[in-house]
Amino acid sequence: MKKTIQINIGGRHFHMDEDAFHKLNHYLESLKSHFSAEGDTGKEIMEDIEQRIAELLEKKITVENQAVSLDDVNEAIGILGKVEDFVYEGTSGQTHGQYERRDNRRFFRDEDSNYIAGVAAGLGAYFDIDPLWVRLAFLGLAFLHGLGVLIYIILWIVVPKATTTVEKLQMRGMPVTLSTIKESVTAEYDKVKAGLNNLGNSDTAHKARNAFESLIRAIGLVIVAIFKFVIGAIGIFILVLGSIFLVTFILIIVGFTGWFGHFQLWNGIAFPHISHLFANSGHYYLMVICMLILVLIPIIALIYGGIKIIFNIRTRHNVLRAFTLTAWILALVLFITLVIVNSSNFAMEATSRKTIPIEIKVYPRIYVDVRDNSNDHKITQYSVFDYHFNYSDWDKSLYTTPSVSIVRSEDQGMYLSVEKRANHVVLDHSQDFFDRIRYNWEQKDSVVYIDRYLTTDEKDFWMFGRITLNLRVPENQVVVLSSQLCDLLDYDQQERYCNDSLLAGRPSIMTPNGLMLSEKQKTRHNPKK
Amino acid sequence: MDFENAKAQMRKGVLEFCILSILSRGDAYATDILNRLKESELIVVEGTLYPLLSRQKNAGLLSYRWEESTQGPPRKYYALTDKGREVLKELESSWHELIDAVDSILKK
Repeated sequence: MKKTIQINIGGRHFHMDEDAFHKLNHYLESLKSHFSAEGDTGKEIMEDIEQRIAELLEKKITVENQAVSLDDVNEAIGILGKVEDFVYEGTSGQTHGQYERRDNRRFFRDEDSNYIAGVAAGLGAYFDIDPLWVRLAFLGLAFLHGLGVLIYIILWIVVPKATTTVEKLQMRGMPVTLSTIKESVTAEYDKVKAGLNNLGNSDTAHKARNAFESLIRAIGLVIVAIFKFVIGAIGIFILVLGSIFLVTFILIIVGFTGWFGHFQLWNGIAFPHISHLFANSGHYYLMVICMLILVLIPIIALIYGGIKIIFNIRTRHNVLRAFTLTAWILALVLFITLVIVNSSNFAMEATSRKTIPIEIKVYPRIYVDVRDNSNDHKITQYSVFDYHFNYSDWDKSLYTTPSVSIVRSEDQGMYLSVEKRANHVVLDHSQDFFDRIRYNWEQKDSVVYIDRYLTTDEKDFWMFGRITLNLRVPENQVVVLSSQLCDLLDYDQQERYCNDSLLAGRPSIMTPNGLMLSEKQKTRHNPKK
Repeated sequence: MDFENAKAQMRKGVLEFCILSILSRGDAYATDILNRLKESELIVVEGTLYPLLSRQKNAGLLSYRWEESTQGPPRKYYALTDKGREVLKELESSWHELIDAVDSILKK
C-alpha cells in the first residue's frame, strides 16, 4: 500500500504517489523561482507549463493505474526539461543558486477547503494541524473584544491565496516540525562543512581559484544561515510588538473612553463628551478618523511586516503601500491642523461684563440674600485642575458658585456687575457661549437675591464657565448680608467680613475703608435713637 | 569564446521565426506547436517554448483566446496579430538573405 496525495494541476485532479508529489513539487518550485524574475509573465508561463504537465500526466492514467507514479513525473519532467535545459536569452547559466533551493513551506490562504476565506485552512496546512483547531482558536479569540475577528480580517487582507499549483504545493510542502527544522539546520551545516572541506582539499595551484571560491561560498552560507535566523527572530518580535500595540489601543478605546470620548471618571458618572472640546462635531469626527488612521496604519503595517517575514511571503503591493503612506501623511497634517485650530480656540478666554443698577432710593437698607437654585437634588462636587464644580445627575448640569466681592461704588448708585468668563470660545459667536452660562438674580423690594449657582450644560464643561459678581455699594449705604453670602465671598472678604468681624445678618455701612458695622446697629436696642 | 551562448542565441532566433510561421498557417494551441517543432527536431525540451510564447505575446506579435476542448479543460489558442504577420514577413526575407549569404560564403 502506498500513500497517495490528491492534487489539482492545470484544472485537473490527480491522485499522486507521495514521492511523485515531492518530486513534482520540487520541480515546479525550481521553475517558479527561475521565472519569478519576470513577474506576471512568469506566472503566466508557470500556468502554461502546469497545463502541459497535466496533459502529459493525464495520458499516464489508465484503468488499472489511477495514481500518478514517480516514473510518470520523471518522464514529464524529461519532456519539459529542467531549468538548466532551458535555452532562454542566454540566462541558462545564472540560475543554479535558485534552482537548488530547498522547498520552504509558505503560508497561503487555502480557498479549496475554506469556510470563510481559507485563513484557518491555510494556517492548518502551514503548521500541519487540523484546521478545526485553528477555527476553534479564532472563535475563542473572537470573544476577547473581537480580537479573533480582527486577526482573521488582517490575515485575510495580508495573506495571498494559493492560486497556482506551485503555491498550493508550497502551502502543504514539508511540515514545519521540530524534526524538519533540525533537518534544515543540519543541511545548512553540511553545506557549510562541504564548502570548508572543499577548501581543505584544494592544495594544487589549479585549485587555488576553486579554494577562493569555496571560501567565499562557505562564508556566504554561514552569513545566510545567521541572517535567516536573525530575520525570523525579528519577524516574530515585530509581530508580537504590533499585536501588543493593537490590543493596547483597543483596550484604551473600549475600556477607558467607552468608544471615543465618554470618559468614565469618578463614581461612574458620565463625563462631558470629548467631542464638545471641538469647535463643531465635524471637527471631532475628523479628529477621530485621523487618530484611527495615525495609530492603526503603523500597527497594521507592523503586524503585516512581521507576518510577511515569518511566513516568508514575498508579495509587493506598491499601490497599496503608496496609498497607505499618503493616507497616513494626510491624516497627520489634518490632525496637526485640527489640534492647532482647536487648541487656539481652547486657549481663548473671553469675558463679558454687565452692570445692572439696584434701586436704593426708597429703601434705607438693602438686604443681600442667596437663593439656592440647585433645587435640592443630589449634587456631587468635583474639581478639575482649579476648576471646581458640582454635577447634578438629575438635570445633567454643572453647578458652579460665583465669586462675590463687595466694593465701594464710584458714584451714588448701587450696582451689581456680573462678569462671565469662558474658555474655548469661538469669538464670532461669543454671545452664544455667554448665554449658555445661566445665572439669575433679582431685586424684590429691598432684598437683592442672587443665585447660589451658575449653571451650564454638561456638554459645555470645556468652557470652564465662571462668574465674578461685584456688588458696588455707595458710601454710607446700609446693607445687610445674609450668612449664606459668606460662602460666596472671595477669600479676603470672607476673612474680613465673616471671620474677623461678623457682619453677616447685621446692618453694615459702606465706608471709604470698606464695610463696617453700622452705628445704628450698635444702638439697635435703644428705641430713642 | 562562449560557443554555447552563440548557439543558444541562434536557436532562439530561429525558434521564434518558426513559431510565427507555424501560427501563420492557422491558430494553434501550445501542444500543436510543440508537436510540429518536435517533428522537425528543433527543440529538445518543451519548457523552452513557453517563455518564447509569452515574450512574443507581450511584444504584441501573438494573441490568444480560450477555447473549449473535448478532452479536459479549455485550451489556450494562439493566433498571429497583424504586427506578428509583419514581423514574420521581415524575418522571412532576412532569413532568405542570410541563407544566400552564408551559402555563397560556404561554397567559395
